[in-house]
Amino acid sequence: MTAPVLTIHDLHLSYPARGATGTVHAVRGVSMEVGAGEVVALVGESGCGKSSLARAVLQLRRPDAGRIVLEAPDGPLPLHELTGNALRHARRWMQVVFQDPYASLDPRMSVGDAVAEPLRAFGLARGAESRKRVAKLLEQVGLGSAVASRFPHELSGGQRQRVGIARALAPEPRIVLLDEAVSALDVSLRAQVLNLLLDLRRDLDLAMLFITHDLAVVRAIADRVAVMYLGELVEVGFRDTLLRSPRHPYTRALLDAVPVPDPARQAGRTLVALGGEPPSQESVPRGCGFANRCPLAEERCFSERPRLRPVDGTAVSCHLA
Amino acid sequence: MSRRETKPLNRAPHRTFAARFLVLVGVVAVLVPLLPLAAPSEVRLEEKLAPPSFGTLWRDGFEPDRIRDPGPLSRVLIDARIAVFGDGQLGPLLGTDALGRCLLSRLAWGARLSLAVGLVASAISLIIGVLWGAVAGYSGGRVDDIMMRIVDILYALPLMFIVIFVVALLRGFRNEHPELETNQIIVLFAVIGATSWLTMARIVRGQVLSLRGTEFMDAARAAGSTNLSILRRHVLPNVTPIVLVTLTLTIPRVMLFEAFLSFLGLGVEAPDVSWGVLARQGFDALTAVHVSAWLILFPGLAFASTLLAMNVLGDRLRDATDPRLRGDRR
Ligand SMILES: Nc1ncnc2c1ncn2[C@@H]1O[C@H](COP(=O)(O)OP(=O)(O)OP(=O)(O)O)[C@@H](O)[C@H]1O
Ligand code: SF4
Ligand SMILES: [Mg+2]
Repeated sequence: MTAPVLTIHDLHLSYPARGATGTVHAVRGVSMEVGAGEVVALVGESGCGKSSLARAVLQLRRPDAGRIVLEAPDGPLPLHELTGNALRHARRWMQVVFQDPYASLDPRMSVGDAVAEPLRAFGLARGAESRKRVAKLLEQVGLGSAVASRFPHELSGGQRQRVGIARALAPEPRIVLLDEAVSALDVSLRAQVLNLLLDLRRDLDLAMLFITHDLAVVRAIADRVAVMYLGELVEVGFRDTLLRSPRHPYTRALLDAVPVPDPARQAGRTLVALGGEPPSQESVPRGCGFANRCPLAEERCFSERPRLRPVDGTAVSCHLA
Repeated sequence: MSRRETKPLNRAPHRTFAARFLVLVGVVAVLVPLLPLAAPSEVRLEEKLAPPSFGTLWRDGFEPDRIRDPGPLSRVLIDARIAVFGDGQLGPLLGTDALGRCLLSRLAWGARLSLAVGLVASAISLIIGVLWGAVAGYSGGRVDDIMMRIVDILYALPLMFIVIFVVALLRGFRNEHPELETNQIIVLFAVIGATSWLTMARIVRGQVLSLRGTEFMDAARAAGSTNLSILRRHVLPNVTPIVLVTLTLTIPRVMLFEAFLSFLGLGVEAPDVSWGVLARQGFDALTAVHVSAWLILFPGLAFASTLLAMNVLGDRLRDATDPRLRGDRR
């Protein structure tokens, strides 16, 4: 792997719990790296902390602890230490596509202005030059430059997602965090947008942290896969290894051992998980977070917390792996 | 396509009408000195309490000296008026008051002060109120606490007592120093300045606070926008509609406050004229034997229709600033 463009070390993020006095531990000690031009897929069931992880990495919500280092063209930037203008400028190199295409666009800002916002804010282009680049970006994501004068309420969910992608790509970052960024696109559009992203990765060495539920997307685009459960990474490995021989019981459950005979259906299969509920994030168990649902759980799983450790080239956090 | 979409302007004729009416009132207020009206303090005791009539449409006898303290602009306008109309003037079409002064002329001159009060209040609401609320809501935490506490304190002031107290002080001071020519109107404007922006600040702050939690604010920060440009490009446009609505509530409230104070003799004082002063004088002219209804009716009508037009227009402005309500796209 080339030098990591993003290094996350022991990241913790919690929210004050609603109503009561406790805290929600949304991210619990995540460490990972994303290499230049590398695509890492982050998977895990709803509420496990994927979006929170992205937020903390971007310092949109200050993490409780943890180091985030972003490799910018003129040297490494320790995001967790930066504030004010330094942080603002650092963000140019790491962009984000938010999960909710409805909430993440200002209803009173035209699409063109929204895509131009990072260009203006980072001082990259203004006026006619900016309009030209906006038109090109909009065309790249398959929207056509005419939508520039439209407002978000006039667009479909899928169109908004593409506006979000165009906007994230505008300042030519080194890494993009994509939070379910293609979930509302139909199959052909999704392929088009994924191909665009892969082209950019080839041409500009664009790295991606790709949060998704869709196995087909993981297959199409990921180099490595990170599996998250209850705020922790439970397995991180190369795509093919991980998909072919998952080590962690949770990953196995996610991938669902039973093969689907029809390849088309196999491709469209999403990561739907097993029965039962994950424990509350307000009272995280002492041992393995997965123990109450794990078919293999034994005594020490409830008392001793497993750590992420290498097993045959994959990192797994399970006593029995 | 429905007819509604092809003719968006005809959707609400009352709004167009309201806009035209307000423009008319505004233009009259600014250009009164140019109009061939009697001087507002031209006394004709022999004509006192004459009811509205078209008996005398036009007559001579304009007395420019009867216009008190015209500013430089008014002086120019008065000169222009004399050049055009000579000393001709309209007769007392809307009747006269207890001193025989022309009500039509006094209504037109009164619009100046009444509207000026509304204008000052909206300027203060817009500048101080919006900024105050936006900064408090956007900063949050202690800054917000302190700023909103100040607003609470100003809110809690017993305004009427303060006005009465200050006016009393001022009158005492004026008796001792008549040479300083202090004008009671200062008190009115000071009170308006201190209080007219409070509601605006509160409402804007609440709106900004709720905007702060939305994802597009995070998106704007991720896109590298500074706090200032987030305020300017995301916060302000999103509070504009509510600002306009608040404004259309604030202006009438403040204008009513002026009228109320003037009616009680605590605001604008004779010989200055405002609609509140006119209403007061109409009220004073009421006696058991003689009811000069026009002296109350016309100032009241002018006031009520102006306030109504402002409300109607407020709705229109709000709709116009919301891209979701603009029907002319696609
Ligand atoms: N602003 C917040 N305040 C309090 N709790 C929050 C907040 N945002 C998220 N949470 C909680 O943190 C946990 C992780 O949420 P997060 O949005 O990161 O999940 P996710 O993995 O992105 O889920 P999904 O796949 O549904 O988007 C959840 O339990 C959620 O309820
Ligand atoms: S540590 Fe134990 S409970 Fe946790 S996943 Fe492994 S086997 Fe299951
Ligand atoms: Mg999420």
